[in-house]
Amino acid sequence: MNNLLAKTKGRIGSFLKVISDELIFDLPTDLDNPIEYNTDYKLEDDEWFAIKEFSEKEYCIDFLTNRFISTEYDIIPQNQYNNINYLCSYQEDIYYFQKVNNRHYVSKKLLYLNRLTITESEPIIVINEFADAIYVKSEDTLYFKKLTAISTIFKGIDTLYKEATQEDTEDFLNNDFINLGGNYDATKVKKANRKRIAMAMETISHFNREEKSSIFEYIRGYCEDLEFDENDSNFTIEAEDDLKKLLFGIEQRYYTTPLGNEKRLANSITTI
Amino acid sequence: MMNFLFRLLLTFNATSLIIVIYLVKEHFLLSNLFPKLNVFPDYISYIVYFLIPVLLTFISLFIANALDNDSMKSGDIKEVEQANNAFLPSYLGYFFVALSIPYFDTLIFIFAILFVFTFLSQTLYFNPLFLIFGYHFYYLTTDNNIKIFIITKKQLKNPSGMSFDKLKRINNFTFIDKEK
Repeated sequence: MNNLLAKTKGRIGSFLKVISDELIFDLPTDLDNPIEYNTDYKLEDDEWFAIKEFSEKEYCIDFLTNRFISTEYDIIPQNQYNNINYLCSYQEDIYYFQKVNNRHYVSKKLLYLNRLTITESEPIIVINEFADAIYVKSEDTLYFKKLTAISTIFKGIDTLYKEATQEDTEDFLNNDFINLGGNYDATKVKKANRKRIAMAMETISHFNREEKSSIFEYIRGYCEDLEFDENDSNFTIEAEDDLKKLLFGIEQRYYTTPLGNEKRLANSITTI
Repeated sequence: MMNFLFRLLLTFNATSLIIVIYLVKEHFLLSNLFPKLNVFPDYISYIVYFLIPVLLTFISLFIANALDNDSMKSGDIKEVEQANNAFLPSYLGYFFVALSIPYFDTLIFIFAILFVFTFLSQTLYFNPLFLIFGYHFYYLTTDNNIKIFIITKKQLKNPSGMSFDKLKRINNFTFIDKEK
């Protein structure tokens, strides 16, 4: 029997049952030629990354190692509808995961043409065509396409993120929001920053123009010593430390405490 | 919402025998309401009273088909514990209360309290009338050590190989097995 569960956010987030008997995701037909995860590898449309012997990995969750019994999960109460971290559809011993972000929640104003009235539609969650991750229990293998999409589902899986290659690093430093100075170039980027670049490239690729400019505004608010050129709207990067500050900013690691207004840097991040 | 109404109905079925017993104790006959029914002997009234919760229980079993589905596979269940008798003490309690209630308004008040507590107690939807329809009550412990309450027509003894394909969820602890 198929069951759709929702994992709620927060420290005590739990799995709750949403509905049963519905086929939510189809099993992709192209899982037969999986690629072992590698940051440098760009997947073709019909390819998936795979992690074998997944249940033995430290970032595997108990939910996958325990036996799935639908009667153990409570029905999701209404006050948790807006608090979903990810969905998991259990279909014949295969687990399909979909990360739920704000963009998956949709509530739109609808204009009914035959009555000419405006109605706010009921909130819905958009189900993607393909799951973000698929765990096939019989093979003990996790399939996925994008590591960033599932890094909050499987905590610690982002350690798989390898550092950006020389080419990626150069590409990143060539972005028009970066102005290299003081003999600093891609060859001088160290390991830690290369890892951050790999992640930041992924993050920044989802930003549109407006979001980019607001993120730069945000970075300037926290890193006053990072030089910013108003005309060319770029940051001057002269050392490893400058690059690090910029990369932390792209990942939105800076925050201000509500009491005392202290500016801080988050060392690690967990979605709550 | 529908689930909420269904639980109200189940709670009423589980507690309504109190009213039946009270009416029988008070020799309250249908002919008091409808004088034309005077020709029938007293026990006809009592049988009619008793049949009302029976009928409602039958209806509730029918409505249960529309509830949310769950299932359990062979190997999911680690332990099974019979619970048919567990409701007897509380039920006897209900009966004695009903027998000693002096006035009708006392009955209404006590019934209301029992109704609310039965409804809120979640696990206590014990309704002995289910036994008439061939259902039994069991506590099951799953492989992951979570205990649930099941109303089923099956005679359960050995947890190995036990499976349920058509469980209906009454609430998060209580399930009714609609498999024929």
